[in-house]
Amino acid sequence: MNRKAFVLSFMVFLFALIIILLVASSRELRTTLRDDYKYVSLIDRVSTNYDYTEDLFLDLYEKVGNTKIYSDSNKAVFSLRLPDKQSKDNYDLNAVSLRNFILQDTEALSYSINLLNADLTTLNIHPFDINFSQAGINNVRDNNSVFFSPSGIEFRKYFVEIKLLNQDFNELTASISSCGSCFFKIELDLEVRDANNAIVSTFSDTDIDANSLSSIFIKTNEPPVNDIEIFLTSLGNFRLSNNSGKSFDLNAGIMFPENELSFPEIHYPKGFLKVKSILGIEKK
Amino acid sequence: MMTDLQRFFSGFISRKGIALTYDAVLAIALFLLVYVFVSTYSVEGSKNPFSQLELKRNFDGMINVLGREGVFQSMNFNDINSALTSSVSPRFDFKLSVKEFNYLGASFVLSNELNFGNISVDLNSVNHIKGSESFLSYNNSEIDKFYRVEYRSWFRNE
Repeated sequence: MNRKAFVLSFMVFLFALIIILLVASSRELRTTLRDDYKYVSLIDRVSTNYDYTEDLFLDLYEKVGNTKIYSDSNKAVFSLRLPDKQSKDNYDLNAVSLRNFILQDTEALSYSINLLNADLTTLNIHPFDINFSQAGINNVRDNNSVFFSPSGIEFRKYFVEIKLLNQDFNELTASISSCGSCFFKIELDLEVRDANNAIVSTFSDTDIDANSLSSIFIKTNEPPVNDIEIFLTSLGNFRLSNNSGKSFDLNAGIMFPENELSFPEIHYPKGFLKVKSILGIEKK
Repeated sequence: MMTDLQRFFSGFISRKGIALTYDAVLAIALFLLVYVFVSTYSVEGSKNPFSQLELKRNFDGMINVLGREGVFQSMNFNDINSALTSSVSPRFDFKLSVKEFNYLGASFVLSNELNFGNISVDLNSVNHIKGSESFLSYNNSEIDKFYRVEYRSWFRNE
């Protein structure tokens, strides 16, 4: 009988022990969940603010900087007037006031907006890491040039549409380095239109050596020294400059091979928005 | 007449009956204990902290869409109130303010403020999340005004 009582007591003890262990493990689980939640919500908050802030600046880039940006499954396109110094100057000023406004918000404490070290007129095409920038040649902010600066060879074509506004087309000359069996081949499509949107000249080449110099000059009725120039240089770098002194409308695009996994997206370059080091992470 | 053997078995059966009764009572008590424990902690478990994250995402997304559509920039109470009413899930309650700022002399001056939702609630009494987003309005290709939308939101049944 004593033995039975002992077994019964032991069973009750084991049962109580199981209950206590269950409670302890449940509490531990809830503590872990709470900690995970704090971390995930912090990351989520930073990420959301990051995206929304970048969207505000991209909106500013379009509306004040007067440049339309567009991307789809295989291309990125930038539409602007070249040059348009007034818009770019306004954009610079407005970007500073927008940054100041955003940084007044306590929600923005988790990141910094770096306007000093980033060229505001530069955007980056992800995930191909190709910079598109508007600037003057030799870093002069006369904004008469656009650049594509690739860091790799994951694109296949540049396409350019120029609509002349207050000048007449004269002639187009091209000096192209053909690829043949070169390592890095690119294509170029160019279309020149007059002020009435009628096509006045086209150029197309599907076999350009991206590591050699190629150039195209579009001559107008402006003095010959003031041509519109397109240069393709090493690593597929692209520059288009308007030296004519009169603005034209430009669609400049870059085309990528179709790839279901990597669509081009236009963002600010790395370093523009930076998550503070308290998290030990930096987005992009 | 009961034989000795019958008396013996009768005593044994009655003692066994009491033991069985005690055993049943103990089992029921233990069952109730476990039941209460499981019920309590399953309710605790249903208060998943990540539901707050869902609430935050839901609100952030909604505020962003309304801001992109220019709803807040109208600073029209009825328009904003109507948009919020039709956008916020009935599961959530909220308190929201829209502030309009002018940029004057390198500083931001509050020019208008509107409040929406359950503005009388004591926020200490509800388990709420908070957030804020900035928006702009443009005029002649320049920033016209700056807007900040700040909100608190919580589950209605908590």
